[in-house]
Amino acid sequence: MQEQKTGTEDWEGFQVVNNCLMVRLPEEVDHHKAGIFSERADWYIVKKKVDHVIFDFQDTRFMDSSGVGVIMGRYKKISCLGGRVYIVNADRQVRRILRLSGMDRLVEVVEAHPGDGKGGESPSAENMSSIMGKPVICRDVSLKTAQKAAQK
Amino acid sequence: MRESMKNEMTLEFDAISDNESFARVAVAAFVSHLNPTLEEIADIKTAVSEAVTNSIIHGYDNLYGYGRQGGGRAAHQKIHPGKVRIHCVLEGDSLHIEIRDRGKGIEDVEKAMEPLFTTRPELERSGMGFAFMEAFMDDLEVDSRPGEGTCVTMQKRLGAGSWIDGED
Repeated sequence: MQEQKTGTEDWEGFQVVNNCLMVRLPEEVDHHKAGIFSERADWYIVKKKVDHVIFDFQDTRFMDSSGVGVIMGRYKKISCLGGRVYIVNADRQVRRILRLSGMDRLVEVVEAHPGDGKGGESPSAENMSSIMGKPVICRDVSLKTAQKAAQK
Repeated sequence: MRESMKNEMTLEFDAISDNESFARVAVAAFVSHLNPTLEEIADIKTAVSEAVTNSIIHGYDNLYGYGRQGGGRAAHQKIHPGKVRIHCVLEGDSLHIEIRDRGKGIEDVEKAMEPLFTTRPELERSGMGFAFMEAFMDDLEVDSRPGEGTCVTMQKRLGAGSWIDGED
């Protein structure tokens, strides 16, 4: 069942920076594509003992509940080991799915474009460590603001 | 005011995961001449993807398709024969989708529709399939008999304005 890893090269889309696993997800994260990503991410968590997992949705334009399963499964494993899951570069579609599934309360959804929403620096493997050093990660504030406004 | 029209299509394909992407894109393309919003397209694609995936992995027990992405190896699991049939009717601005399989069916539909419930926790999907279908479509009905298969019927009115308006 488990794929055997040979050699030292990382799989395509997988990268370890400062002991954090960076996973660049494909254009469509559905059941067909999800399995192999879960399996490979688990290999890094269990065998390589990475501290945190960062899912990069830069290329992703579609995600369904199987994608939620990928994140949820990794969240369960890494949080047992004291680690966290971060999500970067999620577009509107992906954000809606995360919000609807409640995943945005379990993992840290990092704003791709802080500030004015344009031209902000996109989180990358290199600058993620500085983001993670901060105690509070910029969450999806717009929804909370909207909910507060609606209650008034 | 759009003239009331009726347009129908039926699609039948093998119950393998390779076809999940094809199915949702085909349905999205079918409604494209109504100029749906990006949200509506995303809603429909997600709902179709959930229903078709359920048919493939639960109905027919086909967990893997041919050659998984990046793996390039033959599936070690036997592919069970079976078809998924999608029937779409566009009437005016209403989309009606029926997704049917002749798989093993669902014992307890009410239970299956509960968020986070899954009969296959080891697959590490989220148990959110029906919840997503319900959230993204206006109406959802599930008819299933053990041993006979499952039929998921969904409706959505297009151009009704998106619930996500102003949220971002």
